[in-house]
Parts: sequence; C-alpha cells; structure tokens
Amino acid sequence: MRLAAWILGLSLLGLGGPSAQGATEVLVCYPGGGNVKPRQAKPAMEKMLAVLERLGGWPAGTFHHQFTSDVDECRKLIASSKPAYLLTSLGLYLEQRAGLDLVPLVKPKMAGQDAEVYRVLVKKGGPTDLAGLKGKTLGGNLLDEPVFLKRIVFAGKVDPATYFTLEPSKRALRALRQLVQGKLDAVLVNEQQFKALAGLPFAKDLQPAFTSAKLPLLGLAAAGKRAKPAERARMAKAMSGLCGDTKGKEICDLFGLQAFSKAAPKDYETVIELWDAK
Amino acid sequence: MGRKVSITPPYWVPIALVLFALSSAGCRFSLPDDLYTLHGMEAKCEELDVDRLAERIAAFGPTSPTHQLKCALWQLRTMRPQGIHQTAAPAKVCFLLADRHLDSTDRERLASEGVRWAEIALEGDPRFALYGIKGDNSVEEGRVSYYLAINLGIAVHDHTALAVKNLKKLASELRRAVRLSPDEDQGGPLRVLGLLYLMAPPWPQGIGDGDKALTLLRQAAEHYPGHPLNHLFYAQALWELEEDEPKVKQELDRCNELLKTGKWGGAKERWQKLLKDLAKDAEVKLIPLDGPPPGS
Repeated sequence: MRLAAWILGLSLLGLGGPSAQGATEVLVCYPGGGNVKPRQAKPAMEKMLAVLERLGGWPAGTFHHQFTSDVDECRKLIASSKPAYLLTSLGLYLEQRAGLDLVPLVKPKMAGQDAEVYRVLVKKGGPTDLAGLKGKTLGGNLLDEPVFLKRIVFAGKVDPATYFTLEPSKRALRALRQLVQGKLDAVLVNEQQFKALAGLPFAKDLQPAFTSAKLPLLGLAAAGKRAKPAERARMAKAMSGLCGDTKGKEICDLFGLQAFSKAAPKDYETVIELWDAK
Repeated sequence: MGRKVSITPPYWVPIALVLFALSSAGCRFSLPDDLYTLHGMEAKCEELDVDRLAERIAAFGPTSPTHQLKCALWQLRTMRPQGIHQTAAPAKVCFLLADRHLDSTDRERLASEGVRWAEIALEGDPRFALYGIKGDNSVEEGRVSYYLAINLGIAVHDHTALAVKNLKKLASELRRAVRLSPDEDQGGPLRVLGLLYLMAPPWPQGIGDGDKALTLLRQAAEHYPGHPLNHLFYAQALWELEEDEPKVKQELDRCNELLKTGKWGGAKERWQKLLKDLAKDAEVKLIPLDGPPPGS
C-alpha cells in the first residue's frame, strides 16, 4: 500500500518530541506494514507531528500518536484510545467510517500518482484471468485485509479468502521470488510495486492476470465526533502544507511524496458504494 | 593539522564535505577541514618510517591500543607518506578510531576523514604503485571499498536523509568488497552489506532486501564465527524477519560469549550496548557479562 510505503519510510527518520497528557490522539494503523515495529515508527511519527504542530500553530505536544501494523490491534486501539485522527489504509477507513463518522481530510500524491491500482501477477504463460487461478496460492504483503480485497479490489467478483489459498508474507520481494521459483501461483501487488518490477531481473517472466479499477488514496481522516470542523480544517491545511515546508519537504522527498491535497467526499463515493453493497 | 575547534559546527558540515568530496573529482590530497583533533601527538608518538608505519597499520584491529591508532593517524596526516595513501590503511585507522568513540560528533569526524582517505586511494596516483602489497592488488581495492563504505555508513548514520541518499553508493562499494576482500575485518564486507540490506527501506522504496540480508549475515556468522558482531547482526535479522526466537537467542548468546571472553579493545563497550539493546527489544535474557564464563 502506498500509504504504508511512506509510513515505513518515515520510520527511518530521526527523533521527535514528547507527548503530553490530554493530547489529541492520532492513530496510525499500517496493515501489511511488514516488520515495522512501533519503536521504529515512533520517532518518525513524532517528527511529523512536530512539523504539523508548527504549521498549524498548535503548541508542542498537542498531538500524541499510537502506531500498529496489525489490523486486529488497530481495531482495539480505535476502541480504547478514541483517536481524533486516523492515518490508515483505505480498507480500515471504509470499515470504520460509519462507527467513527470518519471524514477524509487529505490524500497523498506520490510519484505522480494519486490513485491506487492492484494487480495479480502470475508467471508468463500462466492464467490470463481470475478463472484460471481458482484454488491457487496467492502471496504478497497486501493480504491483511481480505474483506477490503473482496469488496473493493476484486469488486465483489471473488472472495479471496475462499477463492485462493492465501499465503501472506511480510516481504513483497520474497513473494515475487517465490512466484518466479514456482513456489507461489500468484502475487498481489500495488501500483508502486508493479512499476518497480522493471528494476528486477525477473520482471520479464511475470504478467498480470487481473487489474483492479483505479482506487482513491487515503491520507488522513478525522473522527467527526472528536475533531470539530474548525480543527479539521486546520489539520487539513497543515497537512496540505507539509511538503512545502522546509522540514516537511525532507520527509516528503525521501519517500516520493509530492504533496497532500484536500480530500473531497466525492473522491470516495464509488468505493463507499462498493463497500456498502457487500 | 589538529587545529582546535572552539565552536561546534552544524552537524551537517563534515557530512556535506564528505558528500562534496564524493561527488567531485576533488584535490588529490585534500582532507576535510573539520578534522578530529589530535593534541600534542608529536611529543607522545614514536615517529616511524614508512615501512614500519605500514606494517603497524596492517596489524591493527579492534584490540589495538587507541594511542597507537591516534599516533598512526597523526603521522599519516603530517607525513602524508607516499604510497600509503594509495591503500586502505588510512581509512582503516579512521574506522577503528571512529568505532570506539561513543560521542557521535567524534565518530562522524573520524569517519568523514576515513571516507576522504578512501577516496584518495581510489582516485589513484600514477606516480605511485600500490605500496607494499604482496599478491593481488584487487584485494587492496576491495579493502579500500570496504573502509570507504563503513566509514560513510558511520558518517551518515544519524542523518537519515543523507543516509538514504547514499544507500546505493554504500551498497555498490560493499558488493565490491564482498567480491574482492570478503575476509577483511573477519567477514566485515558480508556483515556490513547484510546489515545494509536489513536496515535500508525495503523494495520498492529502497534497496532493502530481507532475503539477501539473511543470506549474507548467515554467511558471516558461519564462515567468520569469531567476530561478535557477525552473530549480533544475524540475530537482528532473524528477529526482524523470521521471528525465530530460539535461533535469535542462540546467536545473541554467542555474541555475548565472544564479547565476554575475547579482547575487543576500545570497541567492546559500544558493542556491548548494541547487544543489550537488541536483547531488550527481542526480550532475550543474556548470560550476565560479569558472571563466570559459560561451562565453568
């Protein structure tokens, strides 16, 4: 997931500031995030929040964050920490949207792309559509949200949890090598991974058997009941200014983030309809 | 040389100088301005001729006394002995000193200088043949690449934006070192390249590659079992990528034993801290370092 990619990149960044009691909670849920551990993400997130506090004119320590790359842990943290803001996947946004009254605030633009596309890759000469993959093994690091995959990525056509034999991995590159070696029948990749295939020696040995529709990216969403409209607007403005700020640009440049732009409800109408259609 | 610095420059100054040196042809013999300060070395050091200096440096390792390393560095700076600057020797001395400093500014200064020495060696000077090398010259090139990379890694370690920008160069130099001089520093090229693949942003964001990290670090631990960091970094890879708790503990215990029983000189304190930090993260209980040796 592209959002996951830049959060992982943020995990390498340096030190941040302290958190204060009574701070506004920002929950970062990074499913499929491989081996990013909270201790790795912590300094990166604190650094980003410090920049946002400055851009938004909030006192230092206004925000506190929690991080997880585990979907179940995320659901528990949503219930326990009652976040005002959620930096998460499109899947978790759709899942939690109604209960938290989530309002998308900003969406990222990365490497010229502002949409996500998923593909199922197979070895060249293999199946050319999903029909040929029934019962086959599907790998990759994007399999943590099977309901999202069913309703949105596959648009309800197949339920990946039963249609395939899922073999999730924390390492995308490993899954692709296993595909080439014949240890997997297929691998699910996102747009960034698909474009990066060209740099791998075995790219010519792979082909897509399925391509999803273009899906919107999600950056930051606000819990409507906890973040009031004025504060939401303030946060959206701060996030939109992140990549134009000197320190913020350092964060953005590292991970191919070009900008954050304001998200509009209509950006997510199609996926919300798909989700609710079940 | 050795001017006193009364104002600490911004952290990026030595790093920027390193990067400038890397990106430009540069003067043939220019070292960074902001050098690690060596005080009063003339009175404290035995002045060696070039042959003896080269022999001494060749024998240097993690257990070498800090004073001898400093004397060697002082002499390299002041004498600029012809020929030695064409080898990995000066960069090696800088690395050995940087590795035992806990203060990050000192580490970065020494490492930045080490990078520049390695660059001088790689630039080559047609007036001098590689000095004192018996056998395969390309082994020495591998050593230069290793010390260039490891010094560069130290120099940019705490400056992530710079580290990310230099990842490809680090990997390239280390791959050459693995190919040409895998034995250097008891499997150093394997160890450091493996760690780089482990720590770098993973594909497709960066060059990080868990499979390569595990392969290289396993090779380092198995083929060069006497170096504690080979086991420490392999343990880290196993913990981060495989979550293989028994194997993680096995490697950490091996590292612990080597640190306890071996003579590791000035670097020991820093390596012990790395071990303790990883053991804490991985929730592994180590044998106390001040207890009796295992099996006694």
